[in-house]
Amino acid sequence: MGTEVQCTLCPTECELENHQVGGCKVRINRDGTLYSLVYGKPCAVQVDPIEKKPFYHVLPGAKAFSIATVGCVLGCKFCQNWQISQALPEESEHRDLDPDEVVRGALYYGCQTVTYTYTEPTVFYEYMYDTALLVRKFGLLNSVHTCGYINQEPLRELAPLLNAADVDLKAFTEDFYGRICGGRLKPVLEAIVTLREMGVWLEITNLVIPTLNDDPKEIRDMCRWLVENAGPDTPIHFSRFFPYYKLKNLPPTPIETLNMAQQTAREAGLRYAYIGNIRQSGENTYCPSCGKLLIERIGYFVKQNLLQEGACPYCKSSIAGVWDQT
Amino acid sequence: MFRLSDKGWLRLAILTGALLVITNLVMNVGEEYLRERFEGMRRKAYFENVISRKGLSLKEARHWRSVEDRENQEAPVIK
Amino acid sequence: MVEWGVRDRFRIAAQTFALGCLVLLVLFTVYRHQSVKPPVDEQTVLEEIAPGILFGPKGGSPLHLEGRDGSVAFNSYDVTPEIRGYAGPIKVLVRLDRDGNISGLKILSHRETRNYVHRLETPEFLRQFIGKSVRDPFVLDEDLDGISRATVTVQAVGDTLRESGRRVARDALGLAMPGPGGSRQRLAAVAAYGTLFLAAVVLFLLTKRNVRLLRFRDVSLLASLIVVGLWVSSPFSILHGLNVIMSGLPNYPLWYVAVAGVFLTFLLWGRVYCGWICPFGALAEFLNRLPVRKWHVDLEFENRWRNVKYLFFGLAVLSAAYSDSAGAAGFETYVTLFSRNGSWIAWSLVGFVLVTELRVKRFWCRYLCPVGAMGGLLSRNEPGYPSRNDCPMANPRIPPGSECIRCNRCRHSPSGDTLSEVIPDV
Repeated sequence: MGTEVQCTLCPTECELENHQVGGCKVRINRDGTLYSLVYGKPCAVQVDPIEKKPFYHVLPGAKAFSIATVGCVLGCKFCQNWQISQALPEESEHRDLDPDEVVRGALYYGCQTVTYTYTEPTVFYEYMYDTALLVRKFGLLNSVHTCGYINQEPLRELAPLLNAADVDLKAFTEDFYGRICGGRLKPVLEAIVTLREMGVWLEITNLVIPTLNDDPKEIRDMCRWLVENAGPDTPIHFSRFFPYYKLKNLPPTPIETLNMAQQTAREAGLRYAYIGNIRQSGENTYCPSCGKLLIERIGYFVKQNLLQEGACPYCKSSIAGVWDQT
Repeated sequence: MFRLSDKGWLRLAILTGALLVITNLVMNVGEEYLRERFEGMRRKAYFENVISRKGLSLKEARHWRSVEDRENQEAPVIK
Repeated sequence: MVEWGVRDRFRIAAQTFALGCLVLLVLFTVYRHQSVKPPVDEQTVLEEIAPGILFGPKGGSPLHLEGRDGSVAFNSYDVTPEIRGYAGPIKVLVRLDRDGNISGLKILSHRETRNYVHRLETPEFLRQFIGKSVRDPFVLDEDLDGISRATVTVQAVGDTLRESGRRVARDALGLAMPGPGGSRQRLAAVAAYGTLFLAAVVLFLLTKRNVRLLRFRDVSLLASLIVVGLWVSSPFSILHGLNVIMSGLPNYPLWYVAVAGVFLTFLLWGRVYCGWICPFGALAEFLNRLPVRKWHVDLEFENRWRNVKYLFFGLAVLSAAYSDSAGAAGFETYVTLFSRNGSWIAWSLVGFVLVTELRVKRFWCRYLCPVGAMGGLLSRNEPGYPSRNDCPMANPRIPPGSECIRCNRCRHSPSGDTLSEVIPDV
């Protein structure tokens, strides 16, 4: 026969027989060649505030042209987008939108960035890559919200095109990744290190799920690791969990837990710890030196932005982030 | 209706029984092989009847290093 | 009057082939066990999951190892090779304590996509099974913790542990287990089977001399059909015989009644089992009596076609040798019918044979039955069985011992010359 193909895109590394579709549901082996089924076929195209991605240190208030196709490299039981992430491309509605049309759309709607998001952009790697090339050419930024479950080679090839990446670090134990997500932690950590090494602006999102990953010690270990490997300037977003998909039996995350996580992160040395998915002061950016309010956010909207050329207007200390579009 | 002698009928019955017995044995021995063939046919039919009719793109996917290369290479150390 | 050639060359060739296959199976088995020594890796793993406990050699049916402390260990693949995960069977070495609780386990091998199921082999995942009773349901997300993206595999592990565990607990530990075959193989069943077997053999021996007792043969057949077939669901099968060759003597009592007894009677008195105890034979004989015209054939036809069963016996043995599993030899109608379990092709064979029985006396027994072939190989020619016109096997005059099922009918009135079905060629 000899028509088996091994996909090397994500650490799952599916070995595919002829006509077999990978675990991501969007890559197929046809007669010994691997094909992407979703190139130019997004299932979601939207213009969102960049804060929704969430990016808090990238062009505050910018509009992000957001695209996603169906499919995902993981299978998290709490997935908030499972209707599209776990869908089959042949059973879902999609639009036809080639990379140049994505850029045209982004320019038309006045977006400063194109974001690959909602599901896992790794699964539409080829589409993302070709789009990112064009996006660069037209002077926009490329940003991606990813789970980081991607192999080193494809990541290193993609990273030079990326301006910003928000990595979902879902927990800090192999047990959680194995049991709840169907993946492993190690490749995600490797991806975070690589993105930082390659100069991509990094933000981390951590969905705090009651009983599963809300142990203060685990959060502290994770934050310490981030300080050491991603740097203390890496913003971290503790996101509130709501019961979805296969984890409907758990309550939403209590606000106290989120506050505890934010406090833990600050104590561990992370300068910018935020709380997301909930409206309160945890969304604001404060100067780590003088403690004054720099960016005030309500929901996904920027109420005021006091930054001057990427620095605190009071103490003049520089705030890490991507503050202009060059 | 075609006519057979008793002998002819019995011979036919024995041969039919024999065929069923042999099919049974072949299924026992070649179950794994046959299952793979069958799965392959099912996947191909699914691809041709469902996937390829949905107007999806068949964009050649990229491929990175082979698995053997990676095993010789050291993974970055993460503490 | 032409008698049936006792030293017929077709039969001698077919029987030689069957014997040759058996010899091959023995050689294969010896070779495999000498060259590969499969239990070696199992021994190492056994040391891991049951440190410091001595285990005897692997044997029995189902295959298992007995520990000095009363626990047993087994490779699930030896017991339930048919349970599959996503890509194939998942082989688990399991240790059960004497109450049927899992006291240790390790996954030996599987063919699932490694990066989906890497967690499967971790102690964190396997820990949930320790102390769990094989009587538990093993249902995903109920008493079985799932792994995201590996639900099929995890359920397969659960099914494997439950089914193989229950079978071993039942047959090797003698525990009562829920589910099919549950309580049936227990002492009562063994006792009933044993009594029936003995009664049938005694009745057979008595009717050799006493014609008046022959009327009770039907009672005996009906009882076999009910007890051996429907209740105990354990008709003799060539798998029993092949298992002896491939994995040694088992240690549960029904085996000795069902298997050793049958072998002994084959050697002493020929195919008595076929004529007096086999539930499928009984069923066939009752069907034969329905008033449907039977097909008539001549002696030459019989002489050739009755040897087909030896060929299939041989092929079944070769299948077992090739697959290194007695199960691969299975095609027997009585196993499918009375265990109520088989592939659709096995069931088609049952259906086809039962319908044909209406037109042909003991169709399965005469032409296809591998146990009949095995009995035939072991039977001696015995004088005093000249056959007669209502012979249940439709045997012509003076059949060879391998074709006679010893119903004892013709011993008392050897006069009937006009044979109903098989016309001797003159």
